[in-house]
Amino acid sequence: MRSLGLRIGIAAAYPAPPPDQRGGKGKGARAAFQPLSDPLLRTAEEPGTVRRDNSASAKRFCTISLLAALLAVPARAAQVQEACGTCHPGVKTEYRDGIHSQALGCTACHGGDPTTDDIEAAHAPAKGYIGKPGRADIPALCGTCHADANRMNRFSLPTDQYAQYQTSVHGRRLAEGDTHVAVCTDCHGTHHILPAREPTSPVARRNISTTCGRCHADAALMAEYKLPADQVEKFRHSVHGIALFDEEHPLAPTCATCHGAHGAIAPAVGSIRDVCGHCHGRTREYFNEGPHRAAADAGKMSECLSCHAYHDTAHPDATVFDTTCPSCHAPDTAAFATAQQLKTLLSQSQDAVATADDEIARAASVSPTIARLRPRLQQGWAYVTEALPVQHSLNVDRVGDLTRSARSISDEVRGAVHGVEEENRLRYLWLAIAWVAILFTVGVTYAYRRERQRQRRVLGIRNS
Amino acid sequence: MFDTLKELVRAERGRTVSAHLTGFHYLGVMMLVAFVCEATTGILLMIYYRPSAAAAYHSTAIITDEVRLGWLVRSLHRWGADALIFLASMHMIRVYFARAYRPPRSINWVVGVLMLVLLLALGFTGTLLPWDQYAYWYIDSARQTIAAVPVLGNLVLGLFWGGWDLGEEVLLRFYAFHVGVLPWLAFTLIGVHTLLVWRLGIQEPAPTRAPRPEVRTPFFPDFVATLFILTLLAGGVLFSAAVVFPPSLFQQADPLLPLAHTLPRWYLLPVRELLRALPGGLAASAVVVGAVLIFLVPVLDRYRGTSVPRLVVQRAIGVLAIAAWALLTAKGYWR
Amino acid sequence: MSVDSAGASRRSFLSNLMAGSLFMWLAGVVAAVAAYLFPPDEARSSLGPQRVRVGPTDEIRLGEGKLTLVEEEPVWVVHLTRGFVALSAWCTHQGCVIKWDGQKRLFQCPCHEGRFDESGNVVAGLPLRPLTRFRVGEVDGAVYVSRLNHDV
Repeated sequence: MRSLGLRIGIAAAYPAPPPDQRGGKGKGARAAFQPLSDPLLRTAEEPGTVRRDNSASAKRFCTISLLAALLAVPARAAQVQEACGTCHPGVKTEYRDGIHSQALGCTACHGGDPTTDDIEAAHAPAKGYIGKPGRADIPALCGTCHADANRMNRFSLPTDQYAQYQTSVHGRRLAEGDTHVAVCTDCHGTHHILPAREPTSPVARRNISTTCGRCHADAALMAEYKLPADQVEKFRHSVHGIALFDEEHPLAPTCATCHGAHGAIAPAVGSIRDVCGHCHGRTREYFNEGPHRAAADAGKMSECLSCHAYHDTAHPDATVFDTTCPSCHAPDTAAFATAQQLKTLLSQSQDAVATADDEIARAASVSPTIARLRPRLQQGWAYVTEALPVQHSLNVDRVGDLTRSARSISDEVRGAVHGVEEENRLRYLWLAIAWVAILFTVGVTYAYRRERQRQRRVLGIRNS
Repeated sequence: MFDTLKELVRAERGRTVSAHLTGFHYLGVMMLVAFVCEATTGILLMIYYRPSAAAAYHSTAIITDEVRLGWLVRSLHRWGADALIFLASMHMIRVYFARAYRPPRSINWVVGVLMLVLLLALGFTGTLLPWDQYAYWYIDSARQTIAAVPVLGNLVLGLFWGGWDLGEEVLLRFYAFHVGVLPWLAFTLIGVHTLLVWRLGIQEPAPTRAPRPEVRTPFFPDFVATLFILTLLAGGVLFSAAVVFPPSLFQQADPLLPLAHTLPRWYLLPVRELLRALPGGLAASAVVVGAVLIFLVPVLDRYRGTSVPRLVVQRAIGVLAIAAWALLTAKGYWR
Repeated sequence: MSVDSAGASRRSFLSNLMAGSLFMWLAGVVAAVAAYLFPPDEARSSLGPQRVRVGPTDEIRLGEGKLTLVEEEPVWVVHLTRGFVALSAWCTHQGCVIKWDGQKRLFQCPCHEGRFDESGNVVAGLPLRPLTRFRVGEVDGAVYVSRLNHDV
């Protein structure tokens, strides 16, 4: 039993799953799926182990692996050389680059005999061969490892994805028999599976919206579910899309941030605040201080969506006070007046600071050190920036304090710039005065010289 | 105690000049006044300027912006340099056409041309000091032009750049030349030149060079008074230029952000145009030959007679030289 | 001679006028040079390390901070167990002025979710860069602050 040592070694490395998680209701049925038959994962303690004569297959195995080694298979191949690649070279290349190849072989998911390249022997159902798994079976198949904490522990990977998936729209519809919804391989890939930290992975942060968009931007497919197909496009041009793609901010949200990754579901209106508020907590705190909190609780408005769109979220400009507020508040109400006050305060202070900035830029050609005023103006910008989240509290006094400080700083800076320009204009006055003095002196000197010449003529010409 | 001084002064009281002097004869003396003005404004600038790559730009900006009348001192220094070279050119032209380089004044001509070269070098070295984008990239482009001149080019490069890439070391070298080496050389030459003029007097203008008693006017106060008037008027023009067209200060020098086209100041533009107009060695040789010829004018023209054709030739050469200079300058700006 | 006497008064008048003009110009030049030489009223820009006095050392108690201005930039000077620490009060997200919370030993930005620890490193929120550090020192019983690297 020379292979017993091998088996015991494998058993030590890969312990069995606990009894309740073991699958396998029988062999060959497509609806119920097969237990994994990879020799790497099958251990001596598992019931139903088919004892096979390993000596002949071991000999063949050594020959094949030697052949494979001679064919210069790179080190990233599965730990045990498999013969599947002889007939499936393209897949083997794909698989080799992925992360699964570090720990698993082909038969881990597909079953069969990896030690032979005889097609019937390799594809033997007796060896657990299931071929290409059906779409409906894929989540459970992946879940045999990825939902098993014992297995995933060594990789420090979470194990709740399968459970989450089953609560998601995709999972529930799949359970009802709809195979058009996303399953694991649609997002993560089939053979070429890359972890999310790799930039070319379909589940890397920058690529998630493209991956979701494979279905959700497909108008024909979405029409079946009566869903829009413009979310991805909208997201690209939103504040969040710009932060993610253009500014490459590491905390910018992707589809998965708001909708959940595996438990993907469209957030309900009532839970929007939890989604947005997860990152925008400060703004949410300000919002909670104001009268809109009660209105949102009573369902008369959405906490964030009423003023900020959801996929094409953008910074609303001052026109939001004129278009959105009147949809609830009539023009002759105190609330509407508050809205207009806020609009005036914010836009005036922003304009004041922006104008001061322009004037500094303009004066730079006249006065090279005018940039020394920039830090003072930055203080004004800080007040304006702080007023933006504070306005969600609808507290006009608080916003007014901030905007007033901003405007006084911008006035001060503009005054300094004008003072410099004023001083420069004064130089022309000095020039005029200088010319007056010059002409006066020239006249005096000329008169003096003529007088001396006349004096000499009177006294007689002499060379003195 | 002051007797010796009093003696000297009394001896000078009787100094006279020709009564037939025109305004052009005052150019030389006005240059002296202009040079003193340049030296004074330069020394004043030295008090606030910091010649390091990190601080040169900022200290120039502070002079322009914050120091009382700093803008004026800087502006006068920049325009004064232009005025000085302009006066020098006019003076040289006047001396050339009046043939005032003939013995015993031959040495004065050589000294004078040498001083002109010093002034050009002063203008050139001073351009780098503000360390803004124009200064940096103009000097950088000048390096390539200079490198094309055989022998002399390498000499100049070694002297001014010292083998370094354009950076703090080169700035310090330019600064040392601009405030130390070149002004002292200029002072010495000015001393020699003025001493010679003092001893030899201003050459009597041509129409009165006949052997009859010359009419003279006293140096004090007539010449001095006229000089004062001309200086005041010229100073007024300079002051006007300084106020209406102050020198600009671009962005701080950035070695990674080249400025494509930088024009030299007007007085160096013809030199660059000449060096670029003719192919490689030919242009450089032309410049060197031309420079040598200018130095050797008193040697080349030793004619003491009054034959008109010879004089016409001399004048024609002068006119051609001026025309070439003007054309090259125009070409430089036209581009 | 009558002509001479009238001429004499005219001459002396012109002489005086001439002298006066010369003196005026001389005085003008001297005054201009003197004005240039005396330093400007307030150094609006500065070269080289400039220190700002924050206050007496015992004014800032352990765990507390004081907001001061260095060339118009607000700077927090905080007294920690390891000594004084000076950090820019401009949040590195969008420039709002942050506040020091002595209880939590954190800087918090009132605008968004930015939080920085007592060394200026980002602990939470959208800022990506840590707070700009300033130099701090104690001289003659007072705390002084200056820029870290004054590379003009």
